[in-house]
Amino acid sequence: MSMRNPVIVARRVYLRPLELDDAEIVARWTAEEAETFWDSGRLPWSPLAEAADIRRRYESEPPREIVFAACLRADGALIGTVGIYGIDWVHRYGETGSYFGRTEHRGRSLGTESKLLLLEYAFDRIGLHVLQSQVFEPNERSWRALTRQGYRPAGRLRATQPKDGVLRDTLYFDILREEWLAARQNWVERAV
Amino acid sequence: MRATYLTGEHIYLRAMTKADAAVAMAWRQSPFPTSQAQAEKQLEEAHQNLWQTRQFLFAICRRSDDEVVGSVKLGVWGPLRAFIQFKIADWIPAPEAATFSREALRLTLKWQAGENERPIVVVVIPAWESELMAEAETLGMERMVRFRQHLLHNGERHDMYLYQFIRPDWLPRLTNVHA
Repeated sequence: MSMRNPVIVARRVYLRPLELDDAEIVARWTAEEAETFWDSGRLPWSPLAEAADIRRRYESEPPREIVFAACLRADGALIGTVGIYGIDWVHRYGETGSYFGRTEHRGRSLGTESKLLLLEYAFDRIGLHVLQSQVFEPNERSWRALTRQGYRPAGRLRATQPKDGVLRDTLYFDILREEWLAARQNWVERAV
Repeated sequence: MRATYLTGEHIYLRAMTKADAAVAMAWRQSPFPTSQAQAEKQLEEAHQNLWQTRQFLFAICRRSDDEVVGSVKLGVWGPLRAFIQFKIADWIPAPEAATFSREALRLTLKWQAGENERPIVVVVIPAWESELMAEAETLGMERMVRFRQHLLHNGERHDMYLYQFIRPDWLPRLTNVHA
């Protein structure tokens, strides 16, 4: 199957621009979300809100946010989104985030493969110097994945959100371009 | 327009006004130039719906001549948390700028964590602002996050820190699994 408007391609997944017709799928993921460890809890998004976000992101260039659709090469299915938020084009940093909506697409390294494509895009194509990421501590799957992807712990803010009756922390990570370059060859051999 | 309860020895904070558009480069927390007309539009847009606003901007004014010398961006996250970021105009000499930002931190922290009962306050401090860091630590703030090489300043890359304050009397009620 041919890829739809690809930006950057790996062995199993590729990234393409998010389109308005993706909004319905992303909204459905949030309605069927199985996990409860998100910092603001589960929240069913309206496809109208998602479409508005997609539209807004393309309104200025360079953009403040770049969010890609992560798709399977095998059948073109949209399986997640990966993005860079709050891009500071002067200081050349941004914050990464990702969301893989269906349980069958989690735990198979598809998210990590997509994220590594995003890092390649961020450091190699648009020349960012450093990326940060934050994770609500109960979301163990995400912070473990960040560590696997080469991010290093930057610290924590205490008592940011309640979970199960206790205020829990938010963990912060960052990754420098030079660290990415050092790790790049390793993942290129695995994923491309 | 001076907020009487946000007045220190050298500066005071006040709400933004339309006239501030004429000196936008002193308070805008962006390095990009903007015209007076555009700044006026941005100010109007930012002040459309006070009761749904979670992010506020206040002018930092020098007491001696009422000149706008910077701004405080205050983000309010729910009933417990506030997030602060300062900008002091680039044309203010460094020693005076440090005095202003230290005083602005004292005023804002006392206001938010004290009378407004937001027991958790976070402030962003660039690595080159050593006097502001020292002030934060004097006020009981703790450096919690170090973002490496996030900022460009004087031709070199510098770290950016997040300092956090948790009001001691609230600490038992904010019991953390790691406490």
